[in-house]
Amino acid sequence: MRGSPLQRAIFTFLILLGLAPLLWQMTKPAPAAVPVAAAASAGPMKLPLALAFTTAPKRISVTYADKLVWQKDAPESREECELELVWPAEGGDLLFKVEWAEDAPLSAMRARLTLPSGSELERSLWGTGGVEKVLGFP
Amino acid sequence: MRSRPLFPTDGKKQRISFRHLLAFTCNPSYSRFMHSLRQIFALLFVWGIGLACAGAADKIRVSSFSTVLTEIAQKIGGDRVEVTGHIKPGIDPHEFEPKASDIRTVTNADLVLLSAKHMEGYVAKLKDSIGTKGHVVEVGDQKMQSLKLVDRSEHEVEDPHWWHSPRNLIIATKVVRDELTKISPADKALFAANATAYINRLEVLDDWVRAKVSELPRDKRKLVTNHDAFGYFARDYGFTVMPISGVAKNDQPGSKNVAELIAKIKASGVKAVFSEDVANPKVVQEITRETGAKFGGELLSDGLGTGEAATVEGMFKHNVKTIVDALK
Repeated sequence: MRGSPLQRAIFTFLILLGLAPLLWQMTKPAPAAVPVAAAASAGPMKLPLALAFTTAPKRISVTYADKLVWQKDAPESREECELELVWPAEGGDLLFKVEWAEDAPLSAMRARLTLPSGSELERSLWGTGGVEKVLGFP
Repeated sequence: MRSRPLFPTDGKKQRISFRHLLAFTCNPSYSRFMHSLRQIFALLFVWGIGLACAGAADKIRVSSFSTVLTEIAQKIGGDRVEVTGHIKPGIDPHEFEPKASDIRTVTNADLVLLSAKHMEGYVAKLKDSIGTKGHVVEVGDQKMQSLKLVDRSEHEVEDPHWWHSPRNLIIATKVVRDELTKISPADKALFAANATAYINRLEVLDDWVRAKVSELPRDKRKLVTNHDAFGYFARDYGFTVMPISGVAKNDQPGSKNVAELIAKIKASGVKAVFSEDVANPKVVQEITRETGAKFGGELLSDGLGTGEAATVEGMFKHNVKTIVDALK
């Protein structure tokens, strides 16, 4: 490069100055990702729930925060539904009440809940007759 | 003096006068009769004393320094144990010091049950007093994971309030069952059956607590109390504890700590603040005034209470209902 050292320094500085907006765009901190669950916790949302039973029960109900959110009499051995509830970032606990026939054998239920983040969590319970159990997600 | 008729005979009234009695007692047959009577009474007396001693000697003497362990020992030991509860409901176990009468009882005990995790500052004194006679079991130090707390001198210490977790109560039940079995192997089946029944009840209680706590969304499970005693409960049921003071109930919070806590309560929208059975509620009153949170009620933190809360089940139900209903 020709010219005095001072000229070269000024030339380099001007080039960098011209590139500054581009460099700023490339290096600026990305906006903090808002957790889906936290963002969604402001209002009610619909969470898909899939249930599978080894023996179809007589009745099932799901309660969240002391409110009945879904129930069905004589459900099939596989059921799908959507729970409409306010789901905090911390997760939640669902109270399942399953009523199998008195003469039914030891039976089980598997519950798969899709969280606001899109991840799916599975929990299960088992018993005979009437079973009341809290399942936590996560 | 006129004598009183005893019963009528042949239409005539039979009377016993002083003279009759004197004649009877001077009779040799009377002396024989009285001699036999004395022998019978003496035999009965000796037999009664023997029975009482045999009964007392037969029973396993247990000294307990926790209201919760007193219940566990009684439930597992049944009629085979004689449990002395040195700490009564309402007494602060953090401040308790055994009296001479306690030491005397402990000296004769076959088994001494302590809460442990540094709850009893008098353990060394107790062990010195009883020497090698009884077997001291520090139940809380057996197979139970410890949570940590910061005490008034900013040191990390073990949280001694393990009984607020049914999981820990099940461990304690198994420890007591095994210790009683070591003392009386012949009663192994009885202790095992009693322990199984008690553990089943604790599992039912745990399910009940989970169902009741599920009435609160997780973001509302914030527990403000004036004593950091609910760490194990919080761990098991998803609460965040915001204590006003430290490990013991008489730990006084600094004004800076109270100000920070007030700010936290305002920011997190905590609805209620709780006090404890024998704690000073002044700070709680100040916090409720400053934050607008209501006073949620009194909790049993250091052991069993009275009335309906005089059992482990009753204590849990009292605490959980009080907390959930106030925070809803």
